[in-house]
Amino acid sequence: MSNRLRLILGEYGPALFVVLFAVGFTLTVLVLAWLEQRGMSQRWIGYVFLFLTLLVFSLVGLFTRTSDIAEYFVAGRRVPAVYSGMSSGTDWLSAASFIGLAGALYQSGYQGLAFVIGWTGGYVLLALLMAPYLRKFGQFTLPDFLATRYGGHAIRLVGAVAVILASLVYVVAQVYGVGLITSRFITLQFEIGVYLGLAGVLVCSFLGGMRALLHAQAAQYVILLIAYITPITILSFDRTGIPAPPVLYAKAMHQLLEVEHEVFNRPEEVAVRAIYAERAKRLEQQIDNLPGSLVEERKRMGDQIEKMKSSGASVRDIVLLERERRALPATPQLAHAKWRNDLKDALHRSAMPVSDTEPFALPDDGQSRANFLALIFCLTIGTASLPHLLMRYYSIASVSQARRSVFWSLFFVALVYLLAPAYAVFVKLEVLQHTIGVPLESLPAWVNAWTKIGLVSVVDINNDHLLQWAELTINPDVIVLATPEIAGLPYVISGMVAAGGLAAALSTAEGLLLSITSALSHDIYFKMLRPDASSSWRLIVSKSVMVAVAILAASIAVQRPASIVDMVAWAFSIAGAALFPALVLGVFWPRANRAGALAGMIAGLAVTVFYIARVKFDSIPLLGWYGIGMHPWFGIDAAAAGIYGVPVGFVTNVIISLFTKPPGPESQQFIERLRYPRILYNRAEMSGRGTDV
Amino acid sequence: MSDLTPLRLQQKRYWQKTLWFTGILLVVWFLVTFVATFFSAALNQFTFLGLPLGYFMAAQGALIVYIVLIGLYAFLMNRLDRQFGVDEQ
Repeated sequence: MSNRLRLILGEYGPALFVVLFAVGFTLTVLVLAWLEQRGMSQRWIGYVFLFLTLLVFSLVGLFTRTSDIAEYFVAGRRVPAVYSGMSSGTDWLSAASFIGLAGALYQSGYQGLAFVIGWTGGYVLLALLMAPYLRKFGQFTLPDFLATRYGGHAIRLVGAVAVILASLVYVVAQVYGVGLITSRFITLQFEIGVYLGLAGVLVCSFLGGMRALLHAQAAQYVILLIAYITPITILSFDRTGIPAPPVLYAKAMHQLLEVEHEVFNRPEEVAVRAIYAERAKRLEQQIDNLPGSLVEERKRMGDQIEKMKSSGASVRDIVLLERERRALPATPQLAHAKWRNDLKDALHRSAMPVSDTEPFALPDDGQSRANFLALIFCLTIGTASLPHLLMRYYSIASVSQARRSVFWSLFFVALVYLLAPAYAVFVKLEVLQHTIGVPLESLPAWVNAWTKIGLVSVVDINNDHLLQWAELTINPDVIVLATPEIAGLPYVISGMVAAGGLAAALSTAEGLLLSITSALSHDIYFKMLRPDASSSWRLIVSKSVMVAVAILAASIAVQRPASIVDMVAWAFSIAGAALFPALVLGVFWPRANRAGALAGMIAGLAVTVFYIARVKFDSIPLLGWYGIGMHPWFGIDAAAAGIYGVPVGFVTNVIISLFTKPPGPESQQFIERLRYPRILYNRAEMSGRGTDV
Repeated sequence: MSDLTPLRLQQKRYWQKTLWFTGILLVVWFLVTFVATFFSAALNQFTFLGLPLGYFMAAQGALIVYIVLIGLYAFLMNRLDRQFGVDEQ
C-alpha cells in the first residue's frame, strides 16, 4: 500500500484490504463458474487461477517495494496483532498443512493426528517462551538474538547454519507442492510449474521483503480459507444436510465406521488380502536367498516366455511379461532395495485396515505409541523454533501486540485444521461407497485423471474386474485436491482448491526464502564478513542471495526427492534440536553462557543429523560412505530424531555452562531488559538515560 | 533481599509472577499434549459430541485448549504489565 493510501485509510487499511480482496476473489470465482457453464475449458480455468495467484503476489510486491532495511526485514516494526496473526498464520499453513494433513488423516486415521497436535501445540511454546521476548529484543534474525545474548561470531555462525539447513529442507517441500498442483490442474510440466511458481514469489519478496510478505500473505489467507472451506461445506451439506463440517462430521464418522466394518469383511476383500500375504511371503524368501533368487527369477520368467511363445499365447501377454522381466533389478543390491519396498507394500495391503478412531494400532509395529508421542514432541519443539515463524515477531508493533498476535495466528490456523478430519472422513466415505466393489471400467472419472499423473493406482490382483480396497492406492496428497471431483462439484471449485494449495505453498516458500536470505546476507555477510557495508549494498546482496536460494530450492525439488513428509519432519527436528535449547535457556536461565550454548547447539544438531542419516540411509555415495545404516534406538523413526537431539542440546548446554565461567554483566543486563516490556529506571542511579530501552 | 531498591523488588515480583503464569499454563499444555494422548485408547471408551473422546481430543479438543491457553496468557500478561507499570506507552 502506498503512503498516500495509508494516510487515507488509517488503521483500518489492512482490514479493508482483506475484505475487499475477499469480495473480489468471490466475484472472480462466481464469474468463472458462469463462464464454465457457458463452455470455458477446464484448462483455461486452471490458468486463470494460477495467474490470479501469481498476480496477487506481484502486485503486492510492486506496491510495497522498499529500499529501507528495517522495512525490508521487519516491515518497519509497526504491524498490528490481528493482521500479523493472519499473515503469519498463512506463513505457517504450508503445502503440508493444506494438502498433506487431511491426506495423512485419510491414510492413517488416528496416527495422522500427531501432526495436528504437534503443529498447534507448538504455538503454546511459541507464545509463552519465545514471541514476547524476541519482540522485546527487536533485531532482525534469530542468530542476532543468539549472538547478542551469548556473544561472539561462532554462535552466530552455528545459528545461521541451523536456520539455513532447516529452512532449506522445508522450502524444498513447498516447491514440490507447487509442482504437484501445477502439473495436475494446468497440465504444465512439473519443472515448468516449479519455476513459474517461484518466479511469482520472487517478484514479491524481491521488491518488498517482509512488508510485501505481510500483505501478500493476508491476501493469500483469504484465498486459502475460502478454498478449503467451500468444497467440504458443500459436501457435508449434500451428505448430511448440515453445512457445518467441523462440528458435525461425527455423524459421518459413525457411518464411516459401519461402512468400513462391512466392506473390510467382505469375502473378496479377505481374498485379496490373502493374495498380498502370499506375495509378501514369497518376497521375504527371495530377499533371504539373494543373490541366487534374482538369477532364478530371471530364468523362471525367461522359461515362461518361451513356453508362452511356443504355445501361441497372445502377443500382448508375452510383451507384458517381457516388460516385467526387463524391469527386474540389475544387481542384487538394487533387488534388495526394491524387494524390501515391495514387501513393505504387500504387508501393508495384506493387513486388515485399522479403524479411523483407533489409536496406536498399526499392526506391523509395536512401537506406535512411543513413536506417536516422540513425533508430537519434535513437532511442538520444532514449531516453536522454526526461524521463518519466529522472525515474524520482530515485525510486530509491541510486546503486548506480539502476545496477542500468536493468539490470532493460531486462531487463523485452527480454522483450517479443524476441518482437516472432516475432509478425511467424508472423502473416505465417498471412496468406500462409490469406488469399492465397482467394475473397473465404470470407476468415477477422477480415478483416471489422477492415475494419469501417477498419484492414484489400481491393480486388479485377483482378476475379478472389480475394485477392492487393498487394490487401490491413493497418494495422500491427492485427497484435498481431488475432493471437488470426488464430490462431483463443478470444475471451478477444483481450480479454486488448487489456487488455495498454491497460495499455501507459495506463501510459506516466500517466508522461508526470506529467512534463509536474512541468515546469509544479514548474519554471515553483513555481521561477520563486511560490517562496513552500506545499507543499499546490503539490500542488493540480500536480493541476489534470494534469487540464488530460490533457484537452488527449485533445482532440488525437480529431482523429486523421495519422501516430502519425511523431509518436513526432519526440518522440525533440526530446528528444534539446534535452536530451541539455546533460545529458551537464553531467556530463562541467566547462568547459560557462550561455551554451553555453542556446545549445546552443535551437539543437538550433530545428534539429530547423525540419527537421521544413519537410520534413514545405508550409504551416502556422495561422501563415499557405505554400510552406515543402524538400528533405530528404542524403535524411534528418523522422523522423530529430535527426541534425542533436543534433550542432548539441553543437557550439554547446562553441563558445559556450569563447568565454565558465568557470563559477564552485559549478558545479565541483556536478560533483564528482555524480561520487562518497558524498563523502569531509578532516576537517581540512572540519570541521563531514557526510560525505554 | 533487603538490599534491593523498591524498584528492583517490584521488577523481581513481576518476573516471578510471569514465571508462575508460564509454568501453570505449561502444565496444562503438557497434560493435554502428552498425558491425554498417552491414555487415548482408554479415553476412547467415552464419547464426546458423538466422537470417541480420545480421538476428539487429538483431532480438535487439544487445538481448542491451545487457543484458550494462548489467549489467557496474552490477557494475563498484558494485565500484569499494566499493574506493574511496565507496559509500553
